[in-house]
Amino acid sequence: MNDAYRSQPSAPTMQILVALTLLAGCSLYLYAAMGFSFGVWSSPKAGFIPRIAGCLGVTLAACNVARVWWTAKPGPVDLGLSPRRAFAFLGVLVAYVALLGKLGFLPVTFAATLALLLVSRGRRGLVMTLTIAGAFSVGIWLLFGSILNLPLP
Amino acid sequence: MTSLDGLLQGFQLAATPTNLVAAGIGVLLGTFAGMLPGLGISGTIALLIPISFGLDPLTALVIFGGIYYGAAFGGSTTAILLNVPGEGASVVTCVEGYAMARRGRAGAALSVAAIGSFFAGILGLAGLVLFAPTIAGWALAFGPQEYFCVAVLALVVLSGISGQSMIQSSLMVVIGIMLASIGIDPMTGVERFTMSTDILADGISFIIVVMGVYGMAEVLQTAADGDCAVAPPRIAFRDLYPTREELSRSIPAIGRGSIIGLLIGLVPGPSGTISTFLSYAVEKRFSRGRKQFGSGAIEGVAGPEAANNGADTSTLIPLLSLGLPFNAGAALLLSGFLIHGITPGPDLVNTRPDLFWGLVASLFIGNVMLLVINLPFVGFFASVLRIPLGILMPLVAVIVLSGTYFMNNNLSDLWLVIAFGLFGWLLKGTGYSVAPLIIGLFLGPLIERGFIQSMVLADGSLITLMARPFSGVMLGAAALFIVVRGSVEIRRRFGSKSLGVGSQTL
Repeated sequence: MNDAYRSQPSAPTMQILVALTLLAGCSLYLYAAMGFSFGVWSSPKAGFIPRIAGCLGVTLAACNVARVWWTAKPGPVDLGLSPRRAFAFLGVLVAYVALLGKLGFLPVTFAATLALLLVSRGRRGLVMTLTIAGAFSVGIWLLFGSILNLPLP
Repeated sequence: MTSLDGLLQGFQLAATPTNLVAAGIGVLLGTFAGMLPGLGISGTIALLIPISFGLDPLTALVIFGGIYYGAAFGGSTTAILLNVPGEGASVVTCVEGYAMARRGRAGAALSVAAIGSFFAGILGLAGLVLFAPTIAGWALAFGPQEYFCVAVLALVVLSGISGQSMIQSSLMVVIGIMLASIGIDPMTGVERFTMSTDILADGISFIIVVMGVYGMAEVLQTAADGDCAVAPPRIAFRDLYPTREELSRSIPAIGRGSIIGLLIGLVPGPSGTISTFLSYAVEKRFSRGRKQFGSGAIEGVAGPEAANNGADTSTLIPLLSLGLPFNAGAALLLSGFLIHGITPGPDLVNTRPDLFWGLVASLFIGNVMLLVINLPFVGFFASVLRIPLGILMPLVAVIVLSGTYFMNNNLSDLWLVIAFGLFGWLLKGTGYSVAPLIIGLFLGPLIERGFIQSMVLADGSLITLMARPFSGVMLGAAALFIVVRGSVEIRRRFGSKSLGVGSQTL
């Protein structure tokens, strides 16, 4: 078993973390919904559905936490063999979006594609990786910018 | 205009050279989308967003319809050749289809799957032609009360049969409704949950959430799984012919599977998966080759594949006539329509019959194309599976983000896609189905508007809402479903606990 696989949190821990996050999200939503007027049944206001949805959400999320907590096997967890690689992908994509408006479409798309290819394939076939990243980024730059005349960031 | 007149007019519109090419492209892209893990319908739609902007609305619909159809077919190819179920509906095809492939009958399994899908698709489209205009005609008389009640029934049924615990799926539906409430309240004009940011001021777009929880989440999952390309077997054209015995055993299975699929497709929920499992169970019990099940029975491929396509087609009836997506595939197809400002529903059928009938006719054409193009080239499609995912996924990730950007030329949308991608990946990885969330998000505004208007019209009286015949029946059915589903769940838990105690005692 590789290191990446071993580094995953256990299934029940992951389940409880997600269930608690959902409960926290629903609670925050309900708290914010209380700031809007409910109105009356014959004249509902902006907070009418949000308060009902918030109450339902908190109740269901609490039941879900209880279900996960008290069930011996709450269900399988499958975040892939190497969740770290998915987080590395996320990091590159975040950088891509952050830099897209500043440095322009072509250089940032090339850099992001190259980085993503390196994350997913490693350093094997570096020339091939560079060629794919170059050809792909120039290809979509030409397609979007020149052929379709779309405004590029 | 009768349905037949409309369909003939639709064929005139759909059979133009542009639309025929569009149908071919859609079917091919859909086949790739179904075959390649990680690409999916959402990734393909994202790829087409910028390309389809300049197209005529009908041509764009024809492409999206082709993708929807092709994806179902592509899923069966990977299931049979690689034993990889791209979606829940392909799981049972893996069991018998892959066993046939190991016996050297992969070609026969693929062709029977294609014939079954074609037959069920044509039958489903006939149902669409017969029933969708009628239902859309009735729906014109629907008031906010009726729409509210239909949406509530759809969400209740969806929560109960999404293949996970009822608590989880109900929670996902409610979170979808919560997300739908972000932005300016259309009834009062009040900004809600925007945290005074521009990014949330216009609300969260349905398409952006779809791109995130399907497209980006799939990219992340595939990235985490690693580069695991598998070499599929090579298939020659002559291998595609099923033997006379295989064909005679398949025909009744296709008939049974088609009917099961057509009926299950009308129920909100993962109709493809449910119908394939049901069809498999029926074939295992009643078919001629039932003793071969587990070692490559052709009925185990023919029935479920027909059921899957039948369900995929009949779920278009509520989508096109009422504007209600009953499963994830329909929601993805809907996102393609919405990109072009086309909202399916009674208005589409009654005010834009050219688009509606053109789309229906193109689905017939797409179904034929799927059979004619895909079968002879199945060897080529199988070779596509050799593309390493380690190369494909980075490209799909960039395409999903670029496609999303070109929808509104807004970089803020990309942050939302990434956030929803992470959210969807974590949810799917821990066993939550995101389909109820997506459908809750789409139906949320309909439910809010319908309920508030109903309450204003009825002066706050819930009794008035239930007293309307159609609304009353829908709400009654929803209440009955909750009671039945709840009691089944309690009995199952109580039963399994007492069994557990018993076995410990023993």
